[in-house]
Amino acid sequence: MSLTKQISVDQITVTENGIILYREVSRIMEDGNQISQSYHRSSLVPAQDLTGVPSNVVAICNLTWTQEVIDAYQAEIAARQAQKEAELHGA
Amino acid sequence: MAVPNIFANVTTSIPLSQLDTNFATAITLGNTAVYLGNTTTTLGNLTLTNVTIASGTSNIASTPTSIVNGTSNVSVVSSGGNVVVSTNGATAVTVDTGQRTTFPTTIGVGAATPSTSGSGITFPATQSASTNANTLDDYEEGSWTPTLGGSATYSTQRGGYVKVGRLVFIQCQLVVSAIGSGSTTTISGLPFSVSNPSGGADAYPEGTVGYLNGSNINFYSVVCNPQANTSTVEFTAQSILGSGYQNVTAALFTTGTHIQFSSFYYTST
Repeated sequence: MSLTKQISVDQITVTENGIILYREVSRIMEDGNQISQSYHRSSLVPAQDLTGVPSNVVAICNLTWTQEVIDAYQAEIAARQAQKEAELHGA
Repeated sequence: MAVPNIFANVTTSIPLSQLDTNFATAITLGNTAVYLGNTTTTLGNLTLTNVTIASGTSNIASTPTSIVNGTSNVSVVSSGGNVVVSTNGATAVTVDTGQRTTFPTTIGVGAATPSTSGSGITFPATQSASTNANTLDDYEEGSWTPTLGGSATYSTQRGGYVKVGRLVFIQCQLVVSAIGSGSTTTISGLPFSVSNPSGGADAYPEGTVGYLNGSNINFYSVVCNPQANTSTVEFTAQSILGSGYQNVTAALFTTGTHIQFSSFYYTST
């Protein structure tokens, strides 16, 4: 009887504003037959550090995260932060 | 008068005069004699297409009837009016006389391979989203890794999620070893992006902070909000101001912070 664990990225999603979501599936195999599996999901925002990220996901990030996409995302976050600040000061 | 019989491309006629009174005269299909009367005929290796089997008064006999494939042990049996489909000698599907259907193990929808463990419904590994409001089109559970980003380090980073249709439930436990350049108010890495509120249906989601120790400031309560169009959760501390609360714009997380929270939110599909 031989037990092995296989991990692979089985899903990568790119959202409209450049967020990358990906899913890793871990499969436990016994003599070549799958006996269980589990999912682990991660998300990456434009310009986020990619250390430790699977290479196929990094490739998609590098393709997606143009300077234009990064700027637009950061502007969106900044606008939201400004709105929050305004609400706080108005409270 | 002749009775026409058409088999494959061959048309033949059997004159009534050649049939006896019991219709026991045989005709030949392939190399098998088929009797028209009361004599039982067994046919082997016969493929029928577009076949209708009907009965005027009772569609299924009350006594057990079966269609059996001997080599793979597949059977369709009627028993007490129920239809029972079996494979390998075990029941796979039962349809009772009220048209209620029972599956004893798992069902795969959308071409998903049914799980071999437990009983339930298996959805496709990749969702096939439905726009119908009454259609459950996805179920998934798994883990995610909460993070503050930057150079923050942790002694505990645990997250779990369950997705049912568009609804996502997350829970998280995070213990910060060193905050470094990590965010002091935002946890990132959600398993699904948060949908943009579009009217009342999506509303702005809120979560519950169940435990927060070692924070950077004193507070009365903390609210957490999954942020629309992102995969992050924003945390805001509140202090008591007179008879009400006031949000505090200050760093909340720091080295040694231990936070546990959970939240529901909608994702786009």
